[in-house]
Amino acid sequence: MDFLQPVLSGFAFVLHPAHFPFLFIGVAGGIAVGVLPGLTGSVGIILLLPFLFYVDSSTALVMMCGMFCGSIYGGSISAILISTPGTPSAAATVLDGYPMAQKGQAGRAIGVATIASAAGGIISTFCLMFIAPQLAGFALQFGPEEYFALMVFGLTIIASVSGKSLTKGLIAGVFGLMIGVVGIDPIVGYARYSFDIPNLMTGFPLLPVLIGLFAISQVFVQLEKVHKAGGETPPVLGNLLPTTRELLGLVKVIIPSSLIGTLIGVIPGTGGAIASFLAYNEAKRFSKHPEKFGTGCIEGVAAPEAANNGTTGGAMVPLLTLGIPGDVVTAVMLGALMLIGVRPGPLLFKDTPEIINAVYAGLLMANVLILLLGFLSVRLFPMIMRVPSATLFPLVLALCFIGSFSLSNSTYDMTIALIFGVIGYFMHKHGFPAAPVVLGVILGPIAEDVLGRALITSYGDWTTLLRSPIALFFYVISVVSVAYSMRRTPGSAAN
Amino acid sequence: MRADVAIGVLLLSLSSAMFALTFTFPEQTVALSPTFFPRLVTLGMAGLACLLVVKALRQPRPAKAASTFSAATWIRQGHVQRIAAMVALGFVYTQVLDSLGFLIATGLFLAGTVLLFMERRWTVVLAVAILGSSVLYGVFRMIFKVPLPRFDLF
Repeated sequence: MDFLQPVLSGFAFVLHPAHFPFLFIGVAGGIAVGVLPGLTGSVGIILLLPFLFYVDSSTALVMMCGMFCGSIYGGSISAILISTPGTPSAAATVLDGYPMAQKGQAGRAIGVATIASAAGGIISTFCLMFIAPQLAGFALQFGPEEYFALMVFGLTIIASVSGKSLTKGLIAGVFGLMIGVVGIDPIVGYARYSFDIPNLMTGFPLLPVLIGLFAISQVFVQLEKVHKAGGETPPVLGNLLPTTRELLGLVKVIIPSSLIGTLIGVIPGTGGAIASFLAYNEAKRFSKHPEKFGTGCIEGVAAPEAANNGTTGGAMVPLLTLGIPGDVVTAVMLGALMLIGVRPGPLLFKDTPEIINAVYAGLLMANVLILLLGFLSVRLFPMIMRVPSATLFPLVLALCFIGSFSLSNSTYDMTIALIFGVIGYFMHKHGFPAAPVVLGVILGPIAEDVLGRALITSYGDWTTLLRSPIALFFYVISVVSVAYSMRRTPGSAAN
Repeated sequence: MRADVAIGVLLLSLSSAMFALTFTFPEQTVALSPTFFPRLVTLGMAGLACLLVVKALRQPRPAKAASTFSAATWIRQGHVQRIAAMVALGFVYTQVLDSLGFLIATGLFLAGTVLLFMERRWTVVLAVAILGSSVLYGVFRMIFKVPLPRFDLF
């Protein structure tokens, strides 16, 4: 019962009438963001930021969790209906979801995706509840040396989220580090690269940088697509629910796929796309009829959907316990958490357990809401997909500007967001990913701070960084992580 | 590939300038100097920028059809003009917001943005401009109490 008590208090918080609407908005908004091609979970989190300043930390985190889970699920809807994954993690769902839709079974495919997504999310949340406290307890032993090694490991995730070109990903990451060194340095308080401009003394504000790189740049990208032919018309939905026999048959696909998703999610720098393809492959390998995969079979929809929503709980493990993002969306979440004054790490579990309990309950309830909203609002999905970009993206842009303004009620922040929007757009055009920039901007200053503290406590002895076995462990897995990324993208060297 | 060369040269220039500026920072011998991280980062960027340029120069020129991004096509299709107009509109919006006030400035900005998205029905343009700015004002000014600028031209 001791184990259940914190979760029950988390549920009491989340289900309170003052907090539940925020979770609902997060999940519903996440599904809408996922359904709309052109918007992703990270853009959804960015668009939530202006609202997060006006609620308490636990509610803000619960709202973000809702957005995270909802957007990953929502990505499957457009994958099934028009063969366009709303988010990268829904790419594997196209393989069987779209053929099902072509056979007039779009509703059944969405029904299976809804059940599998909710189940995957719930299973991964239980894994989070079991793993996170143990890891956080262990991480409490960390001193500045271990934290510096951890930040080095965190920065090696840049290589994993680099996309097609490792060189361009690294450049984006180092560009983020360059943005991070502007402003007051953490040791002596000298304002670097400020040129006596008061606004630059505190460095570039994180919120407008994130809004510019992820959301405004996306509006510019969409502006280019105005002339292109209209998207495919969504097909007829048909029946929603699979039969009881089919559902029972899916259990042996959903459970292992959810566990694969959770495991992949825990590994920083991986994400839902890898998990969903891996789960799809395993489901095909262990299937009695592998030849049916790719032609529109429900296992081919259930496996990737259980896995990609399974990554949600998994990705929260390194984020909450170590302050290291598991994927692109959690990298943006890390930035959002810092902005609302929550510093993820083991102390979060010790000092503010109520936030952690709210996250557990919030994730569980978010997946229950996915199940409910998925079935109740399924007829709305084709309508959401028809929202014209001429209406949607101007409003997104206005929301981006107002979000930037609300940080310090200053038009300077709006200008910064616009500048980084232009930078983000050109990065997109030339194949430079935006996620490494965020990692550099967030983790760089933390790495410098903990390195400084480690050197102060050791009277400037640099060998202190190599004396801790835990730190050495992180250096070793950093090397392994980079080597794996280089191996995974062999063509990247040529890009 | 020419774009990669240009970007590499630009980044090399930026990192060189930032590296040179570190010599104006105070030196600190105990613990970590304010120059350490910026130098490390700018040297890293310089190295990566050189790598980008070398790779771009060594790569065979791709066939036109294989090219993912063509500046000429980009300009011909009017993308550059629309993006430039959008950036200009955004810049003007940030500059006039304080004097025109949120409702008027955002209404005009939304109308301009909708037009840039090639929507030509005036009913839609006006609906998005008026309803969009009013709803955003209502939510952020009335509910979240954000001190959005009011009309203050005179």
